[in-house]
Amino acid sequence: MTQATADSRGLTDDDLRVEQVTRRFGGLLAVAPFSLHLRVGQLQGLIGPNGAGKTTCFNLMTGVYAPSSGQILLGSQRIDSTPPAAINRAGIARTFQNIRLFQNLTVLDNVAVALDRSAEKGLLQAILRSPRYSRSTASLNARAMQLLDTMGLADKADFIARNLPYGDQRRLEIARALATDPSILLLDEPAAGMNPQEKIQLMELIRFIRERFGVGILLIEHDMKLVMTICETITVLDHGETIAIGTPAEVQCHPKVVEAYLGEPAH
Amino acid sequence: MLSRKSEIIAPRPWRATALANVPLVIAMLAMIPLGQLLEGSWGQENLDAYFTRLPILVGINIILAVSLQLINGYSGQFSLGHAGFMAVGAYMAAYPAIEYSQQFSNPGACVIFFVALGICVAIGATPPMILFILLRKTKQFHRSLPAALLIATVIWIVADIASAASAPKTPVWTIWTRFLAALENLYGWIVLHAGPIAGHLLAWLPDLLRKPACFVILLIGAGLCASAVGFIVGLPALRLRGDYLAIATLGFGEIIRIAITNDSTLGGALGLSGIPRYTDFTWLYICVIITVAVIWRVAYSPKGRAIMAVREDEIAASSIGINTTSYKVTAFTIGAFFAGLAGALYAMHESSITPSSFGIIKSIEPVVMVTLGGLGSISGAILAAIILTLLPEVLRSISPDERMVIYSLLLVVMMILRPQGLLGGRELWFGKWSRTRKPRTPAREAVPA
Amino acid sequence: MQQFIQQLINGLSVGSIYALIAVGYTMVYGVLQLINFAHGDVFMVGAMVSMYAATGRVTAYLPPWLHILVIVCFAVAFLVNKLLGRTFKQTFHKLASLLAVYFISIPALLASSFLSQHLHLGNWSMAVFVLIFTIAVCGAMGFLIERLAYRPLRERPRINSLITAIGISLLLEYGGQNSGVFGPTPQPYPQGDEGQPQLIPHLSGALWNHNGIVIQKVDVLVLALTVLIMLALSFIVLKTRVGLGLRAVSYRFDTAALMGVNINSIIGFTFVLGSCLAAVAGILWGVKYHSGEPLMGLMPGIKAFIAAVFGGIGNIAGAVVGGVVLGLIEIMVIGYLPGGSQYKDAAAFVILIAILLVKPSGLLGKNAVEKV
Repeated sequence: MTQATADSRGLTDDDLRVEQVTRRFGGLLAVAPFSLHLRVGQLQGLIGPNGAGKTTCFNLMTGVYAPSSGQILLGSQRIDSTPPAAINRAGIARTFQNIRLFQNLTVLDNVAVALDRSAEKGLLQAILRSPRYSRSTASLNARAMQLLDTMGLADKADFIARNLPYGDQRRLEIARALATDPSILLLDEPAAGMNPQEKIQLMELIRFIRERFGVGILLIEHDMKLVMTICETITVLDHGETIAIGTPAEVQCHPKVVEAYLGEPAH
Repeated sequence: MLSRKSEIIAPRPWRATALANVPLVIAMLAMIPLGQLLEGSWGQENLDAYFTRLPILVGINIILAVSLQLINGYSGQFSLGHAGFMAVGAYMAAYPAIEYSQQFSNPGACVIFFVALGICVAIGATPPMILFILLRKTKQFHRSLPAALLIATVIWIVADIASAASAPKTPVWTIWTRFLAALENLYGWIVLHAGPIAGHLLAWLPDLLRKPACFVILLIGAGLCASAVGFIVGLPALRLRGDYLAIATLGFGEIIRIAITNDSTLGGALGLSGIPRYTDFTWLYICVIITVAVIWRVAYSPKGRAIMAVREDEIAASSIGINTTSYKVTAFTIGAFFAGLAGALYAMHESSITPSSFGIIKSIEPVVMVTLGGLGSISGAILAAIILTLLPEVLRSISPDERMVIYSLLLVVMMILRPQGLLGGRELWFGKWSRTRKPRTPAREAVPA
Repeated sequence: MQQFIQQLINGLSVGSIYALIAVGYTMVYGVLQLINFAHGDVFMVGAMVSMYAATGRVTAYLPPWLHILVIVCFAVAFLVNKLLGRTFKQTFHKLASLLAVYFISIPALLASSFLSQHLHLGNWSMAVFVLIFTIAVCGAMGFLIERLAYRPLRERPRINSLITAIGISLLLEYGGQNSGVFGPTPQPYPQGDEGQPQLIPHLSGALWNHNGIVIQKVDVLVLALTVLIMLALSFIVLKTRVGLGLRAVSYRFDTAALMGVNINSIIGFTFVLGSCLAAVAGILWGVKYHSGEPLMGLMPGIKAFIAAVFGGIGNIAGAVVGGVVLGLIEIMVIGYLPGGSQYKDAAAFVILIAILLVKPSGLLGKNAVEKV
């Protein structure tokens, strides 16, 4: 089994390190010891057949589930038993397999609500409409519009989210995740339901995000072309077990992966 | 399906500045002459007493409906217990009004009442709070809490039965009652000693301001009590969704009502009477304006957006760092405050209150108003409150016997024919009545798309 | 100890009645995820109608204007459908069930009034007749409520259906209080004293009166009837095709439809079944407590609902368990807690809060976890 290329530079402050994490549901071991090291600025992929435990791993990393054993660290901070909101504030953002937008809010609102998430502060000012409130709201809306501009959604800023076309909804969800200023971005099947043309655009988008925002990206995907093209390292899961970690080239030829998931390559 | 334009694009709520406070103040001041008109000499000559009572009822229902809109509409938590908060507000205003305020001439005593109450409740709540915090430390919170509650309940029941069996004539309720009795003594002591001090402190208040000051203190105090109860109700409500939450809040409302009915200090089933009257048109509608303004400003602000986001999708909201607990409880607390305010205004208008007037029907009325007006629309709630308060009265003159039957029939029909409510969740001055902005063109080069 | 057993029996008796009502709530919630607030009032209608039927006061006719109104409504419905371009046959199919209820009920009402006024049936036959008649009336009422008020709102958010349910409940309560219908004051249930007809003969008095324990015949009847009904119900739900459809719909609504289950029939059947049980509960309540009034359904309805939640809403066995346990706890509170009779209503609500905090899915329910 190929090992991930050893890292000689040492750890940066916001790396995501998953160390031997398992998760049981009753008697079922959904995730056997799973380890991952994602550096800021890296693009990694997580693939495997349906039911392999990929989304469960995401849920473990974002605090939806607590691991049954093992630990998860962001930089030097342990995050494995913290609630999802706290994990997001520490710097991990995610999208969902079934798009979870705020359906009845506008596109702008979806992003603006992610930009300003400090609880409780400012309620009194909101009620009194103090000058400080006006200024902060104006800057909030401006920053949201800027982000929408960057993501190409600015012309639809006042649209109600549920009316957007599917590709735009995905893009909005990613924009919302980016609004939380993360160092790590987890994308759960971003290309699901897209046609080939949209998938190419998505690849460009993901590369653009990595350059522009400097985040580390971990991708769950079923589209092999997309994964093999843009990911630097790929982890393969099957029935909760990690069966391969490596570069796309290594993983493609790996016998276990081929047997469980990919099938023989076309000649 | 992209249908009407107004359903695709939503206009942005006005980004109000501090200047927006000016029309509010003007509106409040305008209520003074209006009130004088209605209840002064002109009104008394030309209008039936019935017609001066109607605006008061309408005003109270507006406050109830708008405050519920925050909980049900914007926060998406289906609460059927609003009457409980109203009852708390009513009683917490009526009791000091009768006992301490001396016909509103002693604002100091009222302040001391609330302070004493607060201290005693804080002390009384400390043991459970400590228990709570200790239980949270153990990571097995969801198992340890029910275990602790169960053990406590068993101890209580056993102790009660034991004491009742040994001394059947005297219902001694052991630990809890003794604790409560001690608290009551503390409360009495504080009131006795601090009362005159406060009285002296506030003696400088000119006579003209004394009564209004007392009134305002009672209103705010009652509202705070109600919001404390709202906080307590909101916390366990966090775990529940949809119908379960509805039933739980219904249960809380009923428990509050039954607790009041069985408390002799608060008058028991007969309630309190002899409450000095002070609410009139002017005061009521000043409160209405404040309520609508506050709820509006909370809802259409970034905090309000977060509350709506939690309503839309709680899991997504927590994935972007929103503390869902805090926002949901905030909605309950603020909504309960204004419900308590409405109750206090109600109590000081009717000179007597009974617990039966805060039953399930009283909880259902604002829910109906909010749904009829459209969930998520303040103007809708106001409109529906006005219509649904006036409708039974109008029907009363048409056919007194069948009016409630017609009322409920109309309710059913309206729900079937227009389920999204009168305004469909939009505000009166948004949607089709406002000019929607032209879609923005992107400022500069965007993502390769 | 004797007092304990006595309380036990009382509690079981009351609890059985709650259980009968709770089953109706839980079945409707299981298929529609709707809290049918009007269910308690169907229970009330059962009690009142049986009272009227037993004393021969069944109104022999509906007032003429009501007949005319119904016919006009049907005509309008036909016209509207015609204007919308549907053929006569299609319209007929849509309105068929409503027409059936109407046209069957008129002869049924006439027959029942004839029977109750003229035939002077022997006591047992009378009882059976009243039972059948009440069950039929309540079943029809449940069916109509679902068809007219809940079905149009099936696609809509649940709060609309809830408010409609509240509206129907208020309609029944205020309508019942109307002097033309039941009148607001409580009326005595026929008990067989002073020459008044008795609903169920030989029912007064105790079956067992030793050792300080009194077992009323009424209680025995309640328990026996409840057990029989529960057995019949479990047979229906577990062994028949309809029951299978019921269970399928309660698991996954849309998938059941795709599998060829006729959703409308199943839901209609659920409502009818629940309402029939409520009717029986109403009769038993009247026989046990000797009086009825239009608002009698409020508290038992809420308590039965709490019982259903307590046992696990959507779970029929849970509703039965919940009802019995709730009845027991209520009687125990009255019997043992000093000042308990004032707190008996509060006890139900405290149980509700407790179960919602500790295990919201109820005693026998399963936690449904949302998939992220």
